[in-house]
Amino acid sequence: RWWQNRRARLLCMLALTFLFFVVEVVVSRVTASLAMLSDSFHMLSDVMALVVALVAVRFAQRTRATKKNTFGWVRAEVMGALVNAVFLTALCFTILLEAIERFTEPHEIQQPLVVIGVGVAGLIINLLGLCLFNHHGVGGHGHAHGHGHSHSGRQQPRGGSPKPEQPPTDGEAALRREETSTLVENCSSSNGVSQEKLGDMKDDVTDLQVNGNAGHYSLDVEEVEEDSSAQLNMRGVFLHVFGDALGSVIVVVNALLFYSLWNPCPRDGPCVNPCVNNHCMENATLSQPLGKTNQSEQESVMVAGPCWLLYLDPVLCLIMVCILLYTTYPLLRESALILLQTVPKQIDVHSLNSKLRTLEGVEAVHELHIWQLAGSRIIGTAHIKCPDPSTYMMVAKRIKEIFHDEGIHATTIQPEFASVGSESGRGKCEFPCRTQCALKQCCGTAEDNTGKKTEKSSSLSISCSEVVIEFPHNKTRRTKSESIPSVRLEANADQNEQFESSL
Amino acid sequence: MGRYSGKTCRLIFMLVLTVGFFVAELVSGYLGNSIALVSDSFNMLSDLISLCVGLSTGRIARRSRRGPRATYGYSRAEAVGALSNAVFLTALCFTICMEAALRLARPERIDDAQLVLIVGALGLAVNVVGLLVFQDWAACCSRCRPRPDTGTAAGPDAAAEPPDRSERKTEKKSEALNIRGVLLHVMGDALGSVVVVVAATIFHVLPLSADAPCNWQCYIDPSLTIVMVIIILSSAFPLIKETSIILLQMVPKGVNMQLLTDNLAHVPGVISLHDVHVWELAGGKNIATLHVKCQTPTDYQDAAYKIRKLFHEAGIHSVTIQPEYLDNKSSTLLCSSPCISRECDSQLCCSQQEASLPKSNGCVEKSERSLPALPKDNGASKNDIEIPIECPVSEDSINNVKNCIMSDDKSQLNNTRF
Repeated sequence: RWWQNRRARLLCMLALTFLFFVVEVVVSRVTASLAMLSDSFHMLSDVMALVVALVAVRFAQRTRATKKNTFGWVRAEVMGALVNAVFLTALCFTILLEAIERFTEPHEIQQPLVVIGVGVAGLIINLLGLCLFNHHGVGGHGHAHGHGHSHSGRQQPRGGSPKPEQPPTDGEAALRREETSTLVENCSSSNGVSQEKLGDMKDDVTDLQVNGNAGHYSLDVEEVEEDSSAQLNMRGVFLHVFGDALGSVIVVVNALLFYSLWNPCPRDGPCVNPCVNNHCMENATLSQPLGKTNQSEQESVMVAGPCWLLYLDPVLCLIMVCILLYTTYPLLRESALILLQTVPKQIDVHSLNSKLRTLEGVEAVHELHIWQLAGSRIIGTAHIKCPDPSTYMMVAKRIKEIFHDEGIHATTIQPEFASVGSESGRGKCEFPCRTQCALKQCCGTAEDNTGKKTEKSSSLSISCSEVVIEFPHNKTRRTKSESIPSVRLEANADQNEQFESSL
Repeated sequence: MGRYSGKTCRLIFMLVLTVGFFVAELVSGYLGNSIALVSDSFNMLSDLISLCVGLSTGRIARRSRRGPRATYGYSRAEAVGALSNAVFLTALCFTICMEAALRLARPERIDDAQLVLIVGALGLAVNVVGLLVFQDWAACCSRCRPRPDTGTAAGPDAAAEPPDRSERKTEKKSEALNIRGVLLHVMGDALGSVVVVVAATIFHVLPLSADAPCNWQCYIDPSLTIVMVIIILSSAFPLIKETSIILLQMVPKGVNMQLLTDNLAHVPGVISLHDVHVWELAGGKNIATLHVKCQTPTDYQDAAYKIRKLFHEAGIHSVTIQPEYLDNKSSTLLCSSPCISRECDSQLCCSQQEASLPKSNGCVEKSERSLPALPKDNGASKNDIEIPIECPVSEDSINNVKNCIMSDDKSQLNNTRF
């Protein structure tokens, strides 16, 4: 089913649009119609949007880590969506400007029949494009494709009884890697919906959806997989085509009305065109009644047809701009939020934090970061403080499960071990990077911590402390920065505040 | 945060200037019934929009408080703002190009060359002022820029210098992106004004009568416009590239992944690494995460410090290391604890199924050691693969835990028991 392939769809639409652009340019040269030429450039902007989306899709299929990008290029689609959304906004802006200019200087449509013809053809192509990309719609709901996958958007009942171990269904994976074959009982079988781990009913939070999302995601690792980042990308393209379709609708409506209602100035004979703002005319024609009918016996001067027709175009354009901006803004927002490394909306960091902290053996959690790479790949890092390594071992799996429940599957957990006497004071980072690098750390200075102090009152956060076996002479190597930490800590201690970020 | 840097001051000044000129041009355009003035004023409007985007993203980024919605704060807003500005500018260039092509197809003359000349010159003056304002002109707004407080105000001077300078540098780097976006717009506008002035001068000096057909003079404007578009685009693309490096989570410039992973693999105690990720948050703040396989917790603790040192030397200061301990079931290359199930593989940031290429995930294997037979704890069969509990979680490792030296000047010096 080639039409389910994103690239095929994009390429098809690209070819169609480009062809139509060429046709329109030729027609405009033949009929010497400037309006047609400018309309053809709208098609060209469509072509550019499709090219951006295609490039993004091509990039995003390289999910493997490379030297230049350790995450692979999966984020390309989100960026493509943002670029398309901004591009569309800019186009709306220019359309707005043109409409305002038209208000001050209205134009007549020359050769409305040609315009109608080409407009209808453009509308057909755009409608076709809308159908092609409608799969993704404006609301951004995706589908799990093919192979009988069920949607993972449902809540699963808690598994009360132990489930037997099920081998995973991607058989080749099972064959390839016996080592990790015992992991599997938590995620279920073919439909990729994960079920609750047996016996553990700690959370009140809902089921183990694989990514915790109410959307529909497929775990299918085939290339037809429609990830939400792909949906974003397609939404960008859809909005462009939608805008173009609206433009074509306006062109057709306008030309039709013009054709039927307008009384043009005939080529011969004097003609009064009251709609065009002309200083000379204001003085000369005030005495003449304006209107749809032709002139009275006074002078056989024709008056051009109803003026409001000339203002129809800009008004419709304004409406179109409003519609487009209204529908583009959510896309802009969503892709920007992903790129800003924000927490995905379905995840509640506070509850995750409290779940982690209430685990036995976990003393504190800090540097908890959750962000969305693209689509359903959510990444988390945390520093977990435990009393000693063996406690950590026991609790490590549970930690990963908690993350998994929220849909965060790629995690890096750094265990930190408290030392004797750590309850009283604030430990210091044992890094070589201390305060001189504080500003270069991701979560830098102490001033960021004021917002967080209320939640962490129960747990001691020793920022990024680690057990490092240090010989006394190690300290001397870092004498340069020795003085700073003490000052910092005193300052912080005075504020009586728990800070959880690194120094 | 209530702290004005020079950047905000400049942006606000430019904003005020541009708004003023925009309004003036619009009013005079309508009064004088000149469409050229009105369209030029809309160029100013686009400048205004880009300034607003620059200002607002700068403010968002500076307020970058970590919160439940954004664990890293919003410091990336500047990169997003710069990208938006660059794309906006590209789209505007595209439409300008379209209009120039239309003009080439049907050339028109400039009617009121004198008026256009005057307004064009004024617009050029405003833009040049804007460009100057955005240069690193320390004299401007020095009063707007109090010393940024780094919290070490009480510290000695020598120590206060590096944080201050480094903060200034990181601020400069990210503010560079933001300002560059706005600067591009201003430069585009300035070039547009230059083109207008040149064309109007030619029409003024060599006037074309109303009934004469358009000669070469009519083609000057569109062709110069196309040249201008090319210039603007060629300076917009580097900005797009730079913001892409940040937004696509690429390895920041100046970090050599190959060298870094090789050095990391040679740290004693490290058997292998995988899932090494290095990326830039914004403005020089680099973040790394990796998984390290070691034999015992002692090994890990020894290695962790050295690993961090290596990263520090590479310019990466926020590192999160996940230790994994060997068992004889998992290979040294694969992650012992990717997630709790293999079904989640497609949602990992690096698919484990592709780990067969040793270097592609940043998986680097140091040496082929024979794996010691670690006893399994059968009761925790599910735990084994991921993080095995090793029986010889020895006393010395626990002692080592207790023996840590928190080289805190305030306390805890009771541990130096070596």
